[in-house]
Amino acid sequence: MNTWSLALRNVWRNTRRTAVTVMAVALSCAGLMLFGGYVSWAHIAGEVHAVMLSGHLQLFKEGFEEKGAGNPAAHALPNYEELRQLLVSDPVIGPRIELVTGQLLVQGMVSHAATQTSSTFAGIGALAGDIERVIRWNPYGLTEARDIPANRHLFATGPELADEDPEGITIGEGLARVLGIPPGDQAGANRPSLELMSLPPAGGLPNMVSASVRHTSIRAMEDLDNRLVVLPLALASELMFPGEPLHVTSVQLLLKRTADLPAVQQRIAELDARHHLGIEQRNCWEMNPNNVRSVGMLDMFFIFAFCIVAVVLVFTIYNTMMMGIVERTRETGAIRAMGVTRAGVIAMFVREGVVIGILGGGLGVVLGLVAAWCVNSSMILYTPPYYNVQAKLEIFCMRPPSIILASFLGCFIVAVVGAFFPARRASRMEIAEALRH
Amino acid sequence: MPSIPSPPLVQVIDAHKEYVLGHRTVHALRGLSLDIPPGGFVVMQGPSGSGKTTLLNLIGCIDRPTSGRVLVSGQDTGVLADAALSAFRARKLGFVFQNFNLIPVLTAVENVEYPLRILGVAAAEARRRALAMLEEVGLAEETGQRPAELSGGQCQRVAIARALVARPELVVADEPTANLDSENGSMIIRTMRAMRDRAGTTFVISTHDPEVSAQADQRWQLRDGHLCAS
Repeated sequence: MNTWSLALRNVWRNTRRTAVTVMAVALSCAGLMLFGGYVSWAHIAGEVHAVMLSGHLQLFKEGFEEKGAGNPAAHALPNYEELRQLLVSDPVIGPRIELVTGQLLVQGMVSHAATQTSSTFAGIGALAGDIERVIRWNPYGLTEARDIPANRHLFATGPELADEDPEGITIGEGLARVLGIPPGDQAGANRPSLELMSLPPAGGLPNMVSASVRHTSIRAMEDLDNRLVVLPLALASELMFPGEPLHVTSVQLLLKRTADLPAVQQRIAELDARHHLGIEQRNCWEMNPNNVRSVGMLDMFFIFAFCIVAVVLVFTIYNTMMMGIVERTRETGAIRAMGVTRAGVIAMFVREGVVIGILGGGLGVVLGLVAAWCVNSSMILYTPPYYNVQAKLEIFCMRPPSIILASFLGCFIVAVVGAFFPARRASRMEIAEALRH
Repeated sequence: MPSIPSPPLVQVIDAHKEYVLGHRTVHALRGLSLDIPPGGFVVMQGPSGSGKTTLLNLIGCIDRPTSGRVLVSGQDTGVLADAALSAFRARKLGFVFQNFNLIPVLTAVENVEYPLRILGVAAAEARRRALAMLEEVGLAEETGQRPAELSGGQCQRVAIARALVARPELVVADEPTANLDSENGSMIIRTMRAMRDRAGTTFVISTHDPEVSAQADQRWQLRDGHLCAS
């Protein structure tokens, strides 16, 4: 007989009561794992969505953030190619880069003569192959909104831009609705023809280019999708800077790992200071603050839920242990008489809390994993905040595995704390009084 | 040449014990003094409320007098802090209770080895000594039984084995036969006497049972917290 064997046997004296308590710990642990796994998914989904919208990092001409919103093309980067070469060849940044590309942000009016409709638009002039790599960035294997059957008709099935289609553009699903264009891929011969009009930054009369819609598509943000036009960089440049060489308003960086972002940003700041590049940088979180706010809110919910679970669990364990202690008052007096110290009594009852914590936490991990597998295997759809497409509910308990460990340890520690206070009370009983019980 | 008398194992010196019950103070012991020699088989008698159990609690170091002193084996137990007193009880004292107070989730042998484990005796040695002690009290066949599977007499013999296994100098037994029939009660008293004769352990027993009193070397009569006869 050792102390742990005794604790195990004491725990199972009242099988039903212990089973209920262990189940309470297990369900708490499983609940924390599921919620933690969901919050983890939200963090990853928020990251993927932010990167998909804007890359990891964009470099603008200095002053763009303050003055460029109304007329982005007026703040085009004069040294795009030089900047690109500098980044790619840098020993710190180069190995961390997946893609460096240029973008020209434009805005203006778009009209559809066939339906006599028009609207304002926010355009992204991009290189055909590069934009596909950005909007398909998904190193975590998330179920993408475009892969969900209920959403499939909202996304372009082919590439949004193509080098062999210099006038082919893709427009947001919301804008398509305004312009009377049906969603989805547009048939080759009857592609809707649009006129894009904008004021060149050099001044003068508005410039206009013609384009035809290849696809309607969606970026899963209502505000953006109601105004989005994705057009070839050359076409955007022609609209804003007719007859001039290619211009870009930002250099977009896609990194191999998001974790490298701080190091890359620091290095770019050093390069800017050394080479007087005259740039400012904005990362994906700064450009998509709603994603940060959403997951921040979920983090707070998680902390709140954990506190509630912890309080309920402490009282459950306290209650169970107190009942056991009252039932074993005389026995406790007897072992104290035999020479067990107060600390020994505390240790004995806390050990029982440890056993309950381990059994409950272990069972909770198994239950949590099974429940997460069930959720992930089913197609439960919902629309997250700020989204305008449905997403699949996914639970990422294993990403990172510390979610399992934290849920287990959280419940385990709460169980031990719940056992400690009754144990301390038991240790303070007067022996003679306990024996009279 | 006259022999030098051995010092008493237990000395109770002018012990008072008061309990406060609401607004009332109960005087359980009123300036009681006595000496118990080593190797004695001493019985405390008296009606309910006379102070027998209180006196046994003081002698057993599980309670402290309101005033006065209790010395066991020459140690003034009043000066020991709680942890030191626990260690003192583990080394010097054994207890037999009216309700046995065995640990129900442990087998007979595990109950008997429990005091040895408190003292830090290695598991194998504790098991060997516990089995030997159970054999001495006639329970060699019941070592693996739990208390719920034993009769009252068997439980009390396990309790005696548990009280004696660490070879204490003093065993305090509070009405050890009260919950037993006369046959089992006699057997328990015979067992305790045999243990006293074999190991020289001092027994202090409180009882109402005349058969137990008849076996005593020394009898103390208590009434209203006073020692009135011996």
